Amino acid sequence: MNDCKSTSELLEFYVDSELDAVLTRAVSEHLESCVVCNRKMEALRLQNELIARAVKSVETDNRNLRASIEAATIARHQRLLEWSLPRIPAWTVATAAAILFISISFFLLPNLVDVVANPLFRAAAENHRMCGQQSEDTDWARTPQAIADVEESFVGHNKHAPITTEFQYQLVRARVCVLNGEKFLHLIYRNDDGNEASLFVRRNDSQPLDKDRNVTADGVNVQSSKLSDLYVAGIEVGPYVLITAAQTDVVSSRLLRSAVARFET
Amino acid sequence: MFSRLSRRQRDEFEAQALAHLDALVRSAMRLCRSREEAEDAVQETYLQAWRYWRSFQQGTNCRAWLFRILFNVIKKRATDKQTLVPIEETKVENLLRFDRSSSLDEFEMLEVFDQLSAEHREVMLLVVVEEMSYKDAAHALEVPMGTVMSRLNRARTQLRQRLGRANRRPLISNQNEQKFLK
Repeated sequence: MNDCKSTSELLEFYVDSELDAVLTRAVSEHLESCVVCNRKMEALRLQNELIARAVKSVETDNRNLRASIEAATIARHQRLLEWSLPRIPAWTVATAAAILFISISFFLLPNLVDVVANPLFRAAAENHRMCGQQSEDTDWARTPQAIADVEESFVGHNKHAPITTEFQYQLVRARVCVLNGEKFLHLIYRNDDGNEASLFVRRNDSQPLDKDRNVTADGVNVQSSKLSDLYVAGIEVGPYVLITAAQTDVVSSRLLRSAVARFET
Repeated sequence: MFSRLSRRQRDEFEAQALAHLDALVRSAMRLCRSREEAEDAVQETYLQAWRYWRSFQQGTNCRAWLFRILFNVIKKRATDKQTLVPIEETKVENLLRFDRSSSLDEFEMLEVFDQLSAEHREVMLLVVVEEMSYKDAAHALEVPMGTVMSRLNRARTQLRQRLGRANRRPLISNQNEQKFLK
């Protein structure tokens, strides 16, 4: 191929490795003998390299995002599988399943997922359910200043929960509550439709999350569970334990992610 | 909302889909207004991928499939919220999220790159950055291969023209340069 015009038309495909072997060889031969086309090709290649390098040079620390995605997908599924299908022969599983089927009443079956969750999560879910009925209680801090005061007295001066979160959820009230014998800061978020999500925070200086069921994702321990009608997710961030509860897994996991961004050191 | 996936399917999801997280995030960051929006779009992408993982045909291109979901998610969000990315805003964001070890050449390229239209950025991200074949890029963009070629050609032409213009004027204001170099 001696024609510069024909070669020019193929240069982009050549640089992108989209030509078949015959055309690739023809273009290569022309490039060896033509300085002008060779410069064009080099300019294209350099431009490609620079774009790729520039885009890839942007900081991307995706550990929290990965943990959040795993919590909403694999981790939840993994815990269910580990509970129901341990690494033992299939016939043993089948026998155990048959015995369970006979011995457990149909009334208990819908609550199986509750067994999987750790007690702290169950307490968080229960507290979230109750907070709707207790929304008129007088011990809730409702103004931004009052909420900030409660936060500071409980978790310290330099950490604050997010004011707004995904899907227009706004922080509306806060108070101190007790989960499983431990004091937590309980923050309520509400959207325009009246749906509420809870964020529970405490300093991680006493009872840790259930270590046996933790899923380690790049050094971050994340748990999540579906408890009947609620999705609960939890994470340990430095000295803090954060737990969220909401009606959808997306709201729960995103609220958790927003909180992690505020509380991580 | 439990997906009834087998342990094998779950492992495949982890190995095949989550392996592309970094690529999806960096592409989303070039198409969204902020890192937060980009991460939200990627998270939604993975939730959808998880939901439809059983329908994904093993052996086909998982990366192209994920990018296809990502681009649709970003387009839908932009339509829903009317938040198409204004060029000037992306510049400021880029300054803040640019790796300080990078050279100014890369910074200039990134700034000019972000001024391309969304469909030109998409095709460049797939073919030039992620080194996808035209065929896979066409699959990810849900367009014919000929459209990929023409978009790529127009994108490169525009990039050359804009870089030519950029070289005749200072790309970074003094104020932003200080922010970048800190």
